[in-house]
Amino acid sequence: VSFSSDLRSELARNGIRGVLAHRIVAELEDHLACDPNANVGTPAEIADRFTAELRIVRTRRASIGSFAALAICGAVFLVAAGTHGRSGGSPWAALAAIACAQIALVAGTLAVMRGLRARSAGDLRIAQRRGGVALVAGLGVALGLAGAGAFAGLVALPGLILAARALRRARAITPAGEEHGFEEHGIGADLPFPRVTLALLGTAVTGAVFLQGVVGERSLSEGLIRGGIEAAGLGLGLALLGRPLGLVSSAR
Amino acid sequence: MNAEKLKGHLDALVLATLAEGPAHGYAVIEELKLRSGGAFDLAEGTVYPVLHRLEAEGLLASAWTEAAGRRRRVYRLTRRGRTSLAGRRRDWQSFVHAVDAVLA
Repeated sequence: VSFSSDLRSELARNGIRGVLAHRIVAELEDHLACDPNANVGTPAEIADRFTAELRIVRTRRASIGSFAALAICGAVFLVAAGTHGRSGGSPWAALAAIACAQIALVAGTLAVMRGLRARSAGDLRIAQRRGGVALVAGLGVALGLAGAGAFAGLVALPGLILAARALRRARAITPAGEEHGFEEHGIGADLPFPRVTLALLGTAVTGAVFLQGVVGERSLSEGLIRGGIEAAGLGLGLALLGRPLGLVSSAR
Repeated sequence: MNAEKLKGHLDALVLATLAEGPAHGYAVIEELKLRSGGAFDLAEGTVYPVLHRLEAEGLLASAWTEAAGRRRRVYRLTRRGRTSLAGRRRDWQSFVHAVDAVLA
């Protein structure tokens, strides 16, 4: 009884509760009933092993789930952008949806990239944080679209809520006493030439927005304004979200 | 042999022990010990987290049964698990042949 209650406590300290904790305790009780002298380790050791194994799987699953939810969100955004045009709603809400869509795309992609390869505690934390930023941005897209009059944006909400729940379950499993510092290595862990790649991507996106303004509005000045806003937005996004997203290293 | 030395192989070994049929955690550990001639006498708490992870990855499925008045979780290979085991067996054979070729 003492072993079981100690194990339950240790599992709870690591964020493993409810049905899963009951199952683990029942399995270990059965094991000890089969062999009372079995060397199963201390409750703390068992809880740590479960934590190490399960947090990887859950983070990976949450990253993929977030990406899938954001893909639906992105599809809704593209359809709304294509069909809704400029009619009705707040232009600020539309602008917020556009900005959030870009953040969601970048953060969601980076979350999957790190989540699929994550082994260390640092990798898991950065994947979870990216997933969180991506889902908040996805929520911004859905609400922004609704605010702009495209209520189809709300279709993305159930998927985002499910993904947020999966992410919360993944984040709940954390070894007791683990520090929650920033990641030591930045985007270099995901991309071979991080600075060059980021610069090229930024230039490509800015260029695309510039061209869209020039061609769509048949106005060079409109292209320059849009491109300038996009470049400023990218710079601001990098400054504000660079560290939370693990785009820049915290090592000085 | 401790779990550290088996790192990277434990998943395949656990899948292989379940290839013969469903078993609970204790039986998996005993089978590992038996088949390895006692070499894989693991700290028994190490195998349960691996079983849970393999199930979460879809390679195993599990269900409760009753045994001697106790609840017992019994694991079995899924179709994905069998495919994965076959791939791991091939990889292992290639590795062994390559190492043998160098060492011989």
